[in-house]
Amino acid sequence: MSGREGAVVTVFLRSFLIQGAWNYRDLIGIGVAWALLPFRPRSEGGAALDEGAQLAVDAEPFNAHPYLSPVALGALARARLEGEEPGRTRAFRNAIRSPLGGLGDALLWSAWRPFCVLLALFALLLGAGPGTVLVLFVAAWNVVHLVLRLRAAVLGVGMGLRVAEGIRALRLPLHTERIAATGVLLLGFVGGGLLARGAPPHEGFPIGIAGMGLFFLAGWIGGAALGRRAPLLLLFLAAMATWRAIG
Amino acid sequence: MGVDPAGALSLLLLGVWVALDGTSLGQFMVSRPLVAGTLAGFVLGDPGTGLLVGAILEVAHLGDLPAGGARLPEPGPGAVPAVWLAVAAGGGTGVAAGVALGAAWSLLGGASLVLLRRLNGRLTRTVADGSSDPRGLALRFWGCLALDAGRGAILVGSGLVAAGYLARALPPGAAHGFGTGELLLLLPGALAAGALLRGWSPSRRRVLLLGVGAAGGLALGLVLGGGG
Repeated sequence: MSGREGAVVTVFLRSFLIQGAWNYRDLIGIGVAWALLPFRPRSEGGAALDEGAQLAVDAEPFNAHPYLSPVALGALARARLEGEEPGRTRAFRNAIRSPLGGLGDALLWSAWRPFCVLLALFALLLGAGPGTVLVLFVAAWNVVHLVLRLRAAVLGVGMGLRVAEGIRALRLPLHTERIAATGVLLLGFVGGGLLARGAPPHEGFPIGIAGMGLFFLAGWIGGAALGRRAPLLLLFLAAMATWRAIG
Repeated sequence: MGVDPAGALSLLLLGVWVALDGTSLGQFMVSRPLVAGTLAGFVLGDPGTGLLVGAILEVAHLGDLPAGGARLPEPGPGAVPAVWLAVAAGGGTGVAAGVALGAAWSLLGGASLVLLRRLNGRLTRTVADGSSDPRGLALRFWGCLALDAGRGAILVGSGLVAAGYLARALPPGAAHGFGTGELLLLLPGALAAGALLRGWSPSRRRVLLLGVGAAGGLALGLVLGGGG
């Protein structure tokens, strides 16, 4: 395996643990320092390095979506292999963190994850069993996950500190938009399917469906600020339902 | 319904894996309640209930955006004891109680994550201030992972204990399929779904897409035999 191929494999594998020491001071900085350990320089200009100082630089605050973190790791690893000057790598880190965070969050947390959930629910409404639903969700998610992570590692090592051009070529915002559009269609499918499942009415079902419609509308109007209250509402409703059942 | 020691250990190990997968290790989405709940259901021999409880918890957390250290509930680990309670108590009562436990434990999980991240910061301080060496960094890094695993064990273990007490306190649930009670528990999911649609930048075209999808879903559902 060549140096670069080895770097891609190392970066790819270590990226799975990059959030292992997540904290409010460095964010994933410690994870970056750990992931770059195989690439740390042994000396500088013939003199022994202050390892502690080097690690402190590697561990400086940094954040990125974990699946896109191999872009940064790969670029930094290559910079190390080629003896790039520290000032350039520091500037690179500061410049790359926002796009790697924002693009990844929008694509994966805001679009792809809800899409996969809706896909699983749609399969469930069509009569798929638990095993099928589980496999569908996990497979759909992780195909994108692993391809993205690997591609990020190849891009980072391949392009080094010029990787910004490569990130643009991934066209992540376009994919995010497409997933969101398809997700809206799927959301409609799930809603229609849920309605169809209750077609022979049982007691309270029409009120239940009307209630869901009202809450859906409330969420649409209120947006994320209201949507964040959903877990608390669930706790309240479930506790109330349990209490009623006991009573 | 009791759980034999092997089953309890399996649930605990599942919970640890779920907790680690949330942030520290891999993020293969095993940490989602849909997956964690269904897996717990398979361990307990009732994957259908596991999927139902997991799905209810999942849709309520549809809009969670774990960006930049946002402080959110952590619904995955709590889904494991939630499913155990739902299976043990049985019926609609069990599902409601399980979901309540899962929702409560998701808030505890979120709080425990905040504590973990603060501890991680303390444990790795010597790296940040330049007084560590590579071996020290590696030890502290793996120490943070061990802390997360321990956190998962405590979270899920305490949930299983709580589930055990609640299962004994609840009356035996009447067996039934997906009904009005479960619809009530989907109201938060409807709220989250509406917010999701808003976040997906609804325009006139998107509203049309939603309508087309709904019509399609309704037609398909009726053709395949609605109800149940």
